[in-house]
Amino acid sequence: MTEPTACATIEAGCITCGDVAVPMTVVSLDDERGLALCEATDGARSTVETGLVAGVDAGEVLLVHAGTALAHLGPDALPSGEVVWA
Amino acid sequence: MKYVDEFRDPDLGRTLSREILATVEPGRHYKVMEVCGGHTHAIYKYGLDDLLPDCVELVHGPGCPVCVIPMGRVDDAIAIAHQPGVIFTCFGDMVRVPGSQGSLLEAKARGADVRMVYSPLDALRIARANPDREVVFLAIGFETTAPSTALTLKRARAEGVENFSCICNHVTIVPPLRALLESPDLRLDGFIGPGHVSTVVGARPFQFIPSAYGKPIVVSGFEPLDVLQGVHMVLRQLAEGRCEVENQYSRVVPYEGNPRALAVMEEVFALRPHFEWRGLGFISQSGLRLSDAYADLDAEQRFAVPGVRVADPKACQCGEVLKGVIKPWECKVFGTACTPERPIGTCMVSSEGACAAYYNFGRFAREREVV
Repeated sequence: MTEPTACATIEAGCITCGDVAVPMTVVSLDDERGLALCEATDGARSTVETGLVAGVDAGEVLLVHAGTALAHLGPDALPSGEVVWA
Repeated sequence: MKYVDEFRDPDLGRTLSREILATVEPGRHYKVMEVCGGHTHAIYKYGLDDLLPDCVELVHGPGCPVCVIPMGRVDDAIAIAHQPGVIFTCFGDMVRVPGSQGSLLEAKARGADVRMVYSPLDALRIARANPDREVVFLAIGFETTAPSTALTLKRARAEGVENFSCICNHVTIVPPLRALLESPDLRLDGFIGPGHVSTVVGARPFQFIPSAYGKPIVVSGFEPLDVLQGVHMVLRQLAEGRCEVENQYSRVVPYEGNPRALAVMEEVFALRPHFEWRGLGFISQSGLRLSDAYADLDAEQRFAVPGVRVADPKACQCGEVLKGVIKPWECKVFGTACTPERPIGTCMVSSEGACAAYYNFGRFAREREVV
């Protein structure tokens, strides 16, 4: 049997179980339903609840956990890549 | 780039490491607990403990959401998953958490319809797409995840999705910290406070740690420099004889938290009188159930569950690991009978669990030292 992969985005662990929140850029908004289409740094897109953060605009960066935006982040809050700590 | 890259700069890390060395008092041993599993993960992933002086010991705390789920609750979940017509949904790591009769993944192998989801919203989507099936969502996590579950339940109510329900295992961070501070076998000098939980609850709830127990706490982010700076700020408080709540992660965490998230949790959840934590036992007012207004969406009321308390396996020392009494590698079954592929204890399941984080990142360095 294969190991779970649905959430395996960090070292084969589930980011939701791991209490990890990720920065995502808002692509488009569905204000009526309180949802936004957001894109992660790896290009993966998902629907995000925006009910907990006021005044969301397309193009801004949100901190997202379990499909829910928890906070606004600044426009420069995306990492440009992993680094190796020797 | 602002906010992230600066917090991954190895040169700044070395500078901070030297500042930490200059802050410690010669001859004194410091024990600092990082509460959150995300910090444990960062510490092992980036080898941050190697950048600290030997006299600074990082103790891993109980802040991994799957690590603290007791076996009896897993058994309850499996009992529901085996009900006819049920689609059982949960987060990815949770399917591997062992109950007394196996895990949800093994239940799936025996025919239960268990599906992994990334968010509660995905579970609700499955319910909408399968109106003739009962869709149950296993909610776990601290205050970071609870608002997401609460919003989804509100959405289910608003949209009239009647075939959706939730077995609630959400827990709160303050009661276990209080229990740890009351524990006689653990002597800590300070805490690295949880960053993402604090996005929701703010830094205010941790005020009792300095005021009632005289220990400093620094709410910190998850980039390597965040964690090092958090440790430095704790040590600096100790060196200067201060004791307060400081917020290293102020670029994300407001002191008052997220009021909308707190309001939605207040509406949808109520505190349980007590809740069992793996390894820590029953802790008063530490778990959430659905409020009376949302009782019709409570899977524990919709389905019969065994509700039996099951003792942890004798060989498993997750309790001692969660309390920081022993290090992961000091457990008798670590890396032998208990591995991430075949976990006995919960700490070996999630990558945020102290044992799994150490197994994945730290064990080779230690093996080199031992050899």
